[in-house]
Amino acid sequence: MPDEWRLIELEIHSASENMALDEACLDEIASGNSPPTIRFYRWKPSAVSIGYFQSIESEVNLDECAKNGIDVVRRQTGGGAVFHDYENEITYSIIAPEKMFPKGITESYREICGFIVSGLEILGLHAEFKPINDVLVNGKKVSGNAQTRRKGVLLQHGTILYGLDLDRMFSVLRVGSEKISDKAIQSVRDRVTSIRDECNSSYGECLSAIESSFIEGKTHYFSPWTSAELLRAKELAEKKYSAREWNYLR
Amino acid sequence: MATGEFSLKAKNGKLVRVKAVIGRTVESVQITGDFFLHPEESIIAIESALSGQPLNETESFFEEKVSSVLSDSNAILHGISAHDIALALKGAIANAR
Repeated sequence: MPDEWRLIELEIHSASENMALDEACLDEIASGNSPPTIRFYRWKPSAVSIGYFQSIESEVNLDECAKNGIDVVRRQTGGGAVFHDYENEITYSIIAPEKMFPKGITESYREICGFIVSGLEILGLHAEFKPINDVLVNGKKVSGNAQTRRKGVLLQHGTILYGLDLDRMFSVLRVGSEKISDKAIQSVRDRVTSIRDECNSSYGECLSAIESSFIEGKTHYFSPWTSAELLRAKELAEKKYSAREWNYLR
Repeated sequence: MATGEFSLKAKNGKLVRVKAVIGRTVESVQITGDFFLHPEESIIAIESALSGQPLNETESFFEEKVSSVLSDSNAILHGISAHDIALALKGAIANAR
């Protein structure tokens, strides 16, 4: 498979479908059946995703999620819990053979997060990569990212905050005492921002800027999922990412 | 049996939390947090390597156990270190009630 990229334009899926599509795509790339892929998506209903190593009950207010119809899913990547607010977020995944990226983990985060930095700069924002896995605008976090490497394939997905509804976010995420102590020094509002807080760009303008920076300099084409990916994703969504056994793993 | 728990934050802000069931030895260990480990499934081997170990072992001993698994599994911890896991385990043992 040549290093020609497939771009899957903005889609809307449930939490289990989104995580299943990432894994199905990774598997098909590993088998040599699918090309390196960049995808953009939203979560409907809004959802919380937790990192592979996190305890669902420690991180998520499950009652509040159930009451508000918010999905909860465990990712195959590490990192922290994320509230994927349908109205306020752009999510991406980039999935390709490991050899297409720097071997070092920090260097590969730097390269991929660099696409986000460039996209935000198109919008006139001053952005920077902050190791391990964040992108900041004017010193505040606007994007969190998580990576895994399996079967010779690198998958990185991440969220870019278009808007910020902190009340809603903290009604579904449990904030541990360790982080509360941080907040005593500097409030969350002082540490997190969104594109809408920083400029007047519309959702569509943001998406367009981020998309264009991801594909900059890459030979690419627009194409949907293959039927093999869709079949595998359906199975994974039902049997893995909707299953208590997976989501309550820790 | 008693259980103990201890959380610590690494210098870069990543959190590791160890829960341990304590009897005559470290009976079982669960490691959670927002760190990264490739491949992710190696966490099971790390937890197994720490289980069954004497309670009065040093941080260095536990760190060595974690490092051995990382080396044997060709695994990479990112965001926290083997030392952080060892420290959290010592804290969990000390907190066991």
